[in-house]
Amino acid sequence: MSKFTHEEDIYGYCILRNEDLDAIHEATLDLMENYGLQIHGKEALDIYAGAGCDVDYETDRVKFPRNLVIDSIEACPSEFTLCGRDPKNDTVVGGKKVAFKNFGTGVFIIDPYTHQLRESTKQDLCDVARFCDAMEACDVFSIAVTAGDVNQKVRALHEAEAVLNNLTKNFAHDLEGVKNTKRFIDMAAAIQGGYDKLRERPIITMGACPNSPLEINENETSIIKLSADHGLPIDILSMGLCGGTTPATLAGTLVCTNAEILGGIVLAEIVNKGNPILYGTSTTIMDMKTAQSPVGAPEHAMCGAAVGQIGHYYGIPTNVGGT
Amino acid sequence: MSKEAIWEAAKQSIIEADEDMALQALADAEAEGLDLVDLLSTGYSAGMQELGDQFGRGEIFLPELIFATEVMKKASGEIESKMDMSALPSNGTLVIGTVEGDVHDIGKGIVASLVKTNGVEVHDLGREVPAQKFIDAAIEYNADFVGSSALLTTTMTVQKDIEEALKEAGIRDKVKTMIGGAPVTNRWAEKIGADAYCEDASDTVNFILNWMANK
Repeated sequence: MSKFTHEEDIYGYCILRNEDLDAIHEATLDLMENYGLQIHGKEALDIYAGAGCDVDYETDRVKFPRNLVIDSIEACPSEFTLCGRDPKNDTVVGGKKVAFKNFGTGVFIIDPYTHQLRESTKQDLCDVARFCDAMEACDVFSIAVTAGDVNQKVRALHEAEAVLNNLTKNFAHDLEGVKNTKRFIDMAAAIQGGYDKLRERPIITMGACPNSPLEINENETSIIKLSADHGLPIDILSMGLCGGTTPATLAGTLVCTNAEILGGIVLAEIVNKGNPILYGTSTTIMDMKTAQSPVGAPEHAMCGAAVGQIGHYYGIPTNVGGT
Repeated sequence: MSKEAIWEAAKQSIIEADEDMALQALADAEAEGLDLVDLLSTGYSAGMQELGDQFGRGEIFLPELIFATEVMKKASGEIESKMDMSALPSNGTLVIGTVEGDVHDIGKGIVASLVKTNGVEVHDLGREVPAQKFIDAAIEYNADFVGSSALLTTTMTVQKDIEEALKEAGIRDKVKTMIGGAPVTNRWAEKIGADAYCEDASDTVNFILNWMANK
């Protein structure tokens, strides 16, 4: 997919017209340049400043020159491979290709043998990973159920052990904290036979989520930097809540979340130009009746569709929530 | 103007989120030399309670509730500045925050807002709050309630740490603990020994008011 191109071949649901895409893009650049994002973590701020951003260290406010944003979008590979331990289970993303990932993260499981509803365990995760590994419909795996029975401080590492030993497809993990993220990367590198081998064939996908509206926390900037240092694909995913954490309008929300995601992408591309990126969304509405954010709402799918188009426009593979 | 009419106007001004009406009721009460603290705790507050119930029943939605909360804050702010508030029977003190490692605070903000407008003294510790900080604040503010919010399955565990830390500090039986957040359930509350799982802002207010009434 080339960069900044309008698709000519949408035969199904098309939520954004060409002029809408242009308007969202333009508004995003304007927002990032003149209003800026709230980004935390001195290391990240230094990186942004070094690349030409206007950084206010007192307020953690970063303003982005539009050319830097455009260059970063252009630097993102429009197609890349999410590798598995077994190359025949690799998944190529980009263009019009569609792949599926299982959802997570449950804290309970219906025991497949006793049918009892109980808290999930590490063994459950092993079993689910192996199950998804065998299912053709599942291309990429994410933590389906949490390992509730292990020391929670290193839960994410137990989960990594459970999955990596039962999966030959690409594994998209969710970790907090730089320490655990480093250890997780070490585990994957050990499997592949070194960091260089892991960079060549990344069997893991990293993730970082901005905090709407317009904020990226230090934990996330650290993970983005660490992942880009190792050349690992990073899923930068925003979950805006229309009317709650982003504007009530879908267009306003798309601009807001676009700015957040691009803010993270810029960091990744400065650290490692050409780093594979997944532009991620799980944006939905805030239901004003219950103050909850249903991922079953039609707006969730509408935003997913919009992000699909944005991804095609930017030439960046996307990751959207399914309903 | 009769006292009943003023009290009714105060109540209605909250239900309709009408700041002008609220301030007018306050002015009328002052002109009649009526007790402003009482106006707050039985006039305006009656409006908040009504709205809280309506929100709980799904008859009004979040924006209406928040507008009304803003008017309530304005009215109570005006009254607090004029009066000696020690005369006001407090509905308890709540320490609330989003737990360490978690930055999700929209729900917690709504809870803090609504609880505050029900005459509860609220100390909002913000987000990414370590367990010990909840305890320190509970001691500092002589809290009756400690509320914690977690959105991630991974940060829920801090709610358990809070229970432990309260016990270690020897103040567990001095407070009621409430937990909330998307992955949080009654089951989790039972498991960690929290006093209540509160599903939303209304729930939290009701728990606090019921507990204070039965104390």
